[in-house]
Amino acid sequence: MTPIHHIPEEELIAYAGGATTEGLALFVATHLALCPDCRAVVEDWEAAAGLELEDQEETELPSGLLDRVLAELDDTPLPADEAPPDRAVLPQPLRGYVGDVHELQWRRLVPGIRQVVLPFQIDGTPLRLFELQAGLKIPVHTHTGTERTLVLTGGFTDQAGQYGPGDVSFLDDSENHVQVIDPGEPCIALIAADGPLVPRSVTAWLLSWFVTA
Amino acid sequence: MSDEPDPYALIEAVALRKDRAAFAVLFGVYAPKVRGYLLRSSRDEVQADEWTQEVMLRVWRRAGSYDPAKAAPSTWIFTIARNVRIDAARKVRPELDPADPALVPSQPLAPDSAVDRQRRQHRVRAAVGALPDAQAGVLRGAYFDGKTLRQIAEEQELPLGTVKSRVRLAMARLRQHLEGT
Repeated sequence: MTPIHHIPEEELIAYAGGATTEGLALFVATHLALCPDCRAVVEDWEAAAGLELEDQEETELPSGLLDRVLAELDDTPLPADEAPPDRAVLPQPLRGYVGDVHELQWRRLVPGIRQVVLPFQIDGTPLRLFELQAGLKIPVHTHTGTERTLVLTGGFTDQAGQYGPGDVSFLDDSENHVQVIDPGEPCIALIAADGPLVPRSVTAWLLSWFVTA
Repeated sequence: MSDEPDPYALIEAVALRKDRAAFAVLFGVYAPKVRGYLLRSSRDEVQADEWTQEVMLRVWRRAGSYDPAKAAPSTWIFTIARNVRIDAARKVRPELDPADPALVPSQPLAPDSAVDRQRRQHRVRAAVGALPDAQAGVLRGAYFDGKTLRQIAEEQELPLGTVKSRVRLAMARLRQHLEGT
């Protein structure tokens, strides 16, 4: 199964050109590891940039530049990349930042929700890894900015549909939403959201109080 | 037969035989273009020279990992130049690892799909070329120059909202164009 909910092409273009912040690039590249379709889109834009490079107006090189480079060429091969492990649950590049599932330094927020805070923000909203217990219902809430979610394990369902591994959900502040974590295994997701939960009901308010406290 | 050097053969000669003559030809073709690309983000010529040198050194060192089935030479060299530009700005661009066991693999390419692939890539560029200049300019700033929409707005002295709506219009037109061909 490959993802059906993708990252908007504008952001893939920004990633291809190299305009994304480290936090956004981490989010995009982790989706790319799980999504062959979006990888192909990024490769197409890199190829378009390559054709642009071919047509680039040539500037005159300073004399001696080639000689300087030739003098630096060495015949020693690059050290080999560290071999990847045989198995992994969380994909690269995310795993390089937080470790794999058994190494995560979870902090419990409320019963059923644990988080790992990452040192990044996307558009001013903090990026975190969440683990949401199977079957958990996250009450009606809204956010003050865009909430973006990338599912890594398990899944959830909201009014827009079902989201499984690799799927990306975007919700803006006009949308009140209820998310139900799918039964079976816990849902681990990379989420950029602020607040993080602006409640619309007393239970949600209580949850929000616990989450932010 | 044309006298144009074949970049695929040149990269292969560097990869397999550490062929310095082949590298010098490759340098003659790409270094001026790479320098032109780098000068788009920095007006500092001395710096652009240093970065061009770094790009071409990486071409030499990494030729062995170049996969002609995955990317054209120009694509590969663009990604190296882009990464040098990002490193020079002391920024980090996390990337996936193609050998990662957690990566969801692409479907294997059918024998004739490499040609399809090339056609599609030329189509993306052609579709950008068919856009009104203002829209194409904003997109090129993003996918080629690696500028944020905010930077593009500042450089072109436009409100950010205008730049954003140009991107939206451009994407809608591109989708039409690419689906219609």
